[in-house]
Amino acid sequence: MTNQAFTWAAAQATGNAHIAEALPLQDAMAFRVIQGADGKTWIAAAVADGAGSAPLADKGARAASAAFVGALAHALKYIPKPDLPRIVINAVATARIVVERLAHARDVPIEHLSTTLLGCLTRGDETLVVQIGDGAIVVGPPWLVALTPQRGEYANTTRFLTEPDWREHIEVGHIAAPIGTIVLVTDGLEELVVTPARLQPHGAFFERLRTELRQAEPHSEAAALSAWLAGFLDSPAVRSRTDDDTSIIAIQLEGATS
Amino acid sequence: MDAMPQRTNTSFDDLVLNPERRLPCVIVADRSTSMTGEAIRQLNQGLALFQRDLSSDLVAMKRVEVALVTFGPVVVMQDFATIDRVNFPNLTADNETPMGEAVLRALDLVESRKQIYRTQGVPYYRPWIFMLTDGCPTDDWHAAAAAIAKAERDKKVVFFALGVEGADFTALKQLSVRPPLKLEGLDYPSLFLWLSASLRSGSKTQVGAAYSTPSMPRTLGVSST
Repeated sequence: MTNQAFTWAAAQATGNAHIAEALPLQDAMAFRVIQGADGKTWIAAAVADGAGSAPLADKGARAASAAFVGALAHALKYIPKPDLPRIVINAVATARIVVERLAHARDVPIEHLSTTLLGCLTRGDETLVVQIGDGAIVVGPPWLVALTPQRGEYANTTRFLTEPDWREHIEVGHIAAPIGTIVLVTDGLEELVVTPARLQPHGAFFERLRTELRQAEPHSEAAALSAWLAGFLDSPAVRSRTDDDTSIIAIQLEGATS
Repeated sequence: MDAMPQRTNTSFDDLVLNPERRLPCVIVADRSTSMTGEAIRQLNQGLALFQRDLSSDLVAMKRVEVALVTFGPVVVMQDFATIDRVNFPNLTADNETPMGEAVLRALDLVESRKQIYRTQGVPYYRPWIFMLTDGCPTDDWHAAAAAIAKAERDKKVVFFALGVEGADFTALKQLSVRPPLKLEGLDYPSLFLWLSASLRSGSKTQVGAAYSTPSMPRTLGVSST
């Protein structure tokens, strides 16, 4: 199993509230296929949701998600026997450092770049997931929310990578078993695809993603699904239920050994 | 559940069928004798308009929960319910102005509702308490003022006091952490349209957005004192 086949799809939409206030898209996504020093193909992905109240949230989210997958790529390229939980937590720390340096360069407090961070690193038979703040990482089938995010008391309060005690709010999961599909969504979409009370993913939605991903050409983006997702995020069905930015990355790993 | 409210039409079932995040709001309305006549009529009209306007917003209809506490005698006229399930009675003016007791009752309602949200796993926003009065409190309201101050400090609720002509603004200023609002004339309908608009926008507040408190309605004949 040195060459895990995979397909992926991704889409984003700027929320109604951001359009109304002429704010930029404050979500960010990053995706990287990595040929590891262990001879395996790894996929690193991240989504980040910049805080609506932070003036440079879009830049914080972009920097955090890019730095996270970049750090993972670097570690896997040079470490033949990686300690996976360790490199994932270090990649979150790298993301935090990069955002901090960006704040320093712009001479603003780091809170101006407040962002959540959800990431995954997978080669199909082994997967790590990590999360600070809202949003959901769904794996399946059977469909499950991989991590229970720490929340504040109220629906509009969450944890950020940019908080002083960010280390206390990292949730990490290590799935040492094969998974078929992994999906990362930011908070804007979370309540539409996961029932909040029970953290139960909506099976029909995720089954559809999985079916489409499995039909796509291996080692490539399922472009038709990405286009469908972009339309879905921009549809009245989604826009009537959230004013927030929405982002989704879906990755299919199954059935793929060579 | 405890045997408190006169009209309970909310239930656990509602939270199971509709697990959308909630924005709870208690309206605490003065219907003491001084409200007799045009004032109580305008208040009833305002409540009806409030219900109609909130119902026009499909997202707010699933998320905003309204309760109504009135004083004269302190009565929970309507326990928390989404706006499609609310049934405001026609209010009549009666009796004294036990404002302190009414505020304490509203705080209790909010806390027990939060408890239910938590057991049902339904996310919620910081609750709003919105009090309207035209008179002077006839009970000892200092305990209520202390409870409000503590609840605001602990970020448990957002409390707004609104007075019409004749209200005791000195007491309102001590009761509310925020400056009390003053309604010019008896334009309750405009006031309730503004409250509805604020709740509609508040019920869609994003994660990480600064906590949304209703903005001051400069155009509606309401002024900050």
